[in-house]
Amino acid sequence: MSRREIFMDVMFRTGLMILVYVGFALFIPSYYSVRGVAALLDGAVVIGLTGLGIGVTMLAAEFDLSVGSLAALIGVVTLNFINGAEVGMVTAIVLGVVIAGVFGAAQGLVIAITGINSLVFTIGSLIGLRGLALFMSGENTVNIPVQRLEETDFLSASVLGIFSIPSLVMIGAFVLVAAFLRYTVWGKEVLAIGGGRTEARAAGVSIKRAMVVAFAISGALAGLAGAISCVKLGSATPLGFDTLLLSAVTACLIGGIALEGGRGTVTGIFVGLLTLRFLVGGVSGLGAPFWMQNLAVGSLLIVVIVAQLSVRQLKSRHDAPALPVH
Amino acid sequence: MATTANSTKKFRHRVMSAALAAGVALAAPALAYADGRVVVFSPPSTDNYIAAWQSGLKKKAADLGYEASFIETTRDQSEQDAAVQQELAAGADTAGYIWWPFINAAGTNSLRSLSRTGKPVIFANQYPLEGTESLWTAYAGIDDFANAKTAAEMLLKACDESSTVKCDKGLIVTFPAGFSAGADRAKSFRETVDGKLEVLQEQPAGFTSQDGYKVGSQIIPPVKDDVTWVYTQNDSLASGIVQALTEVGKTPGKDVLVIGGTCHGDTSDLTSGHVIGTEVQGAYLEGWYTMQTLHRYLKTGVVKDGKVYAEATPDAPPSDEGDISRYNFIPSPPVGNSKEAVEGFRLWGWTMDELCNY
Repeated sequence: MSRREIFMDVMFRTGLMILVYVGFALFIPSYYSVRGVAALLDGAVVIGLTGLGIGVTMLAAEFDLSVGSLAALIGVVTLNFINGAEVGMVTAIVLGVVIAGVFGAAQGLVIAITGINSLVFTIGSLIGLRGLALFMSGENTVNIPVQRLEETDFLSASVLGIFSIPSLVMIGAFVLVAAFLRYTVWGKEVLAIGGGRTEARAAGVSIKRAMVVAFAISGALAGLAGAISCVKLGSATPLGFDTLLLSAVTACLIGGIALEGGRGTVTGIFVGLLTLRFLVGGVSGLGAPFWMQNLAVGSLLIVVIVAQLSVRQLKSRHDAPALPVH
Repeated sequence: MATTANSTKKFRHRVMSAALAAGVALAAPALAYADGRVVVFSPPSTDNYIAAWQSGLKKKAADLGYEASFIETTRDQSEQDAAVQQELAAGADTAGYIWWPFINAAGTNSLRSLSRTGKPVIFANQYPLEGTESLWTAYAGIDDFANAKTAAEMLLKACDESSTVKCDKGLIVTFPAGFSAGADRAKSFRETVDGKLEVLQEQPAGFTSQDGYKVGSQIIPPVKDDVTWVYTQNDSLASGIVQALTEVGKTPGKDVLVIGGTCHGDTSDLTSGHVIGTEVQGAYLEGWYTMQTLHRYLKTGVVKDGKVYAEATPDAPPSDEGDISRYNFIPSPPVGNSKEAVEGFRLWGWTMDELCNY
């Protein structure tokens, strides 16, 4: 895609996002209050961080299905650090992210070396990590003691009225990952293997390094999502985040990340995330039953994908060389 | 040209009128219940139990002049927390909150946010965690500890009376891991049978007969010659266990005694004798009673210390008047495994079929 086409694509998706936002803002007062927008941003953090990570693997034409289980495991691990080792909240989060990043990198390395399809491999880690989370939590929810809950308040505190620490971390992560993919060699390698593995290899790109980097980012961001969320909630559930994978992939798809890899932008993921958040928060805020959320998200996703395909088909027809006239 | 312009103008007017009408229609309910709005946070009503609980709550709210606004999220606590923050950000006038976290322990910080509003918060369905007392006004729902104790006592009685099985070793099949009601019940059951029965294994399963069968078909075959009883936390799980036992050549009710802790789904395994008994925990009545508890608090502003069990009368439901207690429990009366017991059952004017078959 040319730069102009990418710009137009993001603009189309941004238009859709604004439409969804305005549609709900007409009926839900919190949608146009500063506090309400802050809550919307805050509520997007877990899916946003995870979606960004899984989006990077999708850009590399891979797929990390283990993100939900990894987030749950890192949540448990982080709270175990806080309760058992009595470390500070921030230190525990950082430790959790490092562990998740290392696990992600190792996962990427094994996939690159063995050549196992990442879908197949990460199904294994999805199941295994969930088991590990149950084991490490003793099959129970791990809690920060009630008397220490006040220490978690910094994650709910307002920053400049409209942000919180988690939402700023999420926005920072989006900016950093976008810059990494655009301006660094390692980042460009991730995009290159997604655009065409054979061509990338021929051009001297290290497939192994790109895979390690993509899965390390995905793992670290899933870990960050799990750690921040669990510290903020004051608890970690070994069976938590079971719907996270689906929501994160949905945000990516609405944002224009192609399942076959190599196409999409970090900005697109952010727009897709906000569209999803506005929709889910809006349906929930109207007091509609849960199935309405499923119906709304499913419908939106289908509309986006059909529109995307139609545009692509129209374009390919338009670009096709005219038949010679005899 | 003029005709075309007129048609366009008419079309625009029609679209605007339709949009205005739709807007008014959608906004009207929000305006109508501004004074008596009760916000209910719950897991999704795609679960039959939760759907029945919501129906009871909604009906009682309407009868008492409130509008119950349900905010459902996935079973993920971070989603429920996002919904709480969104609701609080709206700053809408609210009479009180009803809080049902899917994972009880995981909802404490969201509960803190609700409690900081100064509005009453009624904790629903799962026994609140120790140490969180300052965060909620009252609990309304089932007493999980008493429920499991009754189930254990029914099992011990059936063991004493059985001429075909000598109760010794057995299994506990619980609600999902992390669901505190399941852990509370398992703990209470173990304490009641301690020294009388031996627990071979305790295994989390879920809520449905499929969950019960899936777990049963894994844990029963290796111990099929030892297992003499199975405690399940609801009758759907019990049905799955009955099927798994049958597949390994056991006759439930004769070789192995299966007890269902809570009525859930159809009663065929109960009336056929495959399950030795259950308890009626009506989801509809639980929702109804939860709303009544909030209403009574709003009327009196008083919460008495201690626990109160609503009386298990056949016809008369509890009064809407009077002070509430810190813990307000619905009754969960035991029911034996006979057709007469099932068909003759009445609680607050409802039959067992009406309360359990969802």
